[in-house]
Amino acid sequence: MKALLIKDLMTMKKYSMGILYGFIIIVFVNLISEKIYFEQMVPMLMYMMCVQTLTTITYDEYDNGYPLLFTLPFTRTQYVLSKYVLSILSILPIIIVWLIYSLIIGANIQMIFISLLLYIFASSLYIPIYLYFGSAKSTVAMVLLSFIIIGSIALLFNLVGFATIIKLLQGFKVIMVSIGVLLFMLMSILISRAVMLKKDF
Amino acid sequence: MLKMQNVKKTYKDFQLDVSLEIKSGTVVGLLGENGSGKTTVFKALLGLISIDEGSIYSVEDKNDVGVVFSDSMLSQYYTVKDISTILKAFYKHFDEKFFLTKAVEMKLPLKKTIKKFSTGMKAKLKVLMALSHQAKVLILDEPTTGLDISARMDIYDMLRDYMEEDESRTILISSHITNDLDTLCDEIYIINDGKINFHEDIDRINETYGLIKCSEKEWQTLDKQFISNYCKEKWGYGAITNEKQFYLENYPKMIIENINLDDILLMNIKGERL
Repeated sequence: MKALLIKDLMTMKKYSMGILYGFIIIVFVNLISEKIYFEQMVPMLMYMMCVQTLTTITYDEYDNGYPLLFTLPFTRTQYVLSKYVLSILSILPIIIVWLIYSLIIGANIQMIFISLLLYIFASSLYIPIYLYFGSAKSTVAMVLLSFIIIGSIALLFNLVGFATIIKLLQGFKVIMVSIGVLLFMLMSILISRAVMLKKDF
Repeated sequence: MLKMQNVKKTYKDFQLDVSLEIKSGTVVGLLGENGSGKTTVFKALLGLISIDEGSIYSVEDKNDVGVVFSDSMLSQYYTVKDISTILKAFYKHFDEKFFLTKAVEMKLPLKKTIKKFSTGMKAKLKVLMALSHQAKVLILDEPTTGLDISARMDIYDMLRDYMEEDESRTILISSHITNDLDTLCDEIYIINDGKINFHEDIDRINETYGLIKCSEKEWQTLDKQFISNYCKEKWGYGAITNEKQFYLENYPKMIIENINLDDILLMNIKGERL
């Protein structure tokens, strides 16, 4: 799996300028503003890193790359696991910087933890979609899925009421949510593995 | 050894149904026209596609296999140096010095992205990638596509050197350019419409096979026991025999020519079997 991560990090290096621009914008906005927007913009950066992980799948697949790639010495399961490991590794620097920043200014670090859980949830949702549909069709699939999720949430709010939902969510302990997200990630890995094991290249 | 026994794979408009065996230490050519199933055979051998029936005995350790696909490559945003780093991470026995030295010899720019390479440069790079990690088996699907005669000869020289280094090494190679395979291969398989319909040693083809050309009248009286394929032409009949000497002795006035792989391939595609 180390070799797969090296390959993906080399791919990410190719478009690292985009990530760097994101950092520069955040720093610039914070410097010229009276108010610090770091906590608001970091989740956006994390979302960008999720997209970068998905982009490595695009680069692997692009121009019929899969047949040759999958003759290299690794298993399909290792390939799947490497994408999840990459998605976590790629946001570690952001988490560490955010943690240090929060500790310095004495901010609440719960936001970091919630953002991390949301990030894991999003990666776990998107990776199997990308692997199944391929990069071209998965954009459409993700847009449709986003509409379904947003529509379902809106419907739920209409039926049950916003206050009731917030009260319900506040009842969930962080540990329960964390376990739920990790279980969701495990399910995602199993689905991704099943997709890749069945795939013909 | 590589072996496919009664392997079947069905697609919407195509069915593969093959059995073949490639012994260690041999160079085997797989010939066929476009869409005949050559790439499907290679993908089945490499485990890239599932099969519906049959059994495949292939190399267990992917470190021991070097592969070229004419239409597949790692991301074209990599450079030769990037590919060297990546292959070094993947393969136990990747020879980085050999890879980079040969790349320079082949005039492949080390820091230019593959996207900017010509077709010939990409083809050379693919073969180099396959040859750089001490593979025991090479599976090469039209490795010389897009190369001129000089570049093709360079590639075949590299393949000969590869075989000479270790007698147990094996190559399975497909190509449209049949004349190139004549001097490289020990055996030939011909695949047509998903089925193997010819298999022979190159030496035997050169020694005992012949191309008979005869008139309609001659065809009617010809002893056909050693005829495998025939084709009706405007001038009469063309036919392949695997016992050229029999016809030379018994039909001294008949035109019997030495045969080449092109003739055999064409006769298998366009001709009829007896």
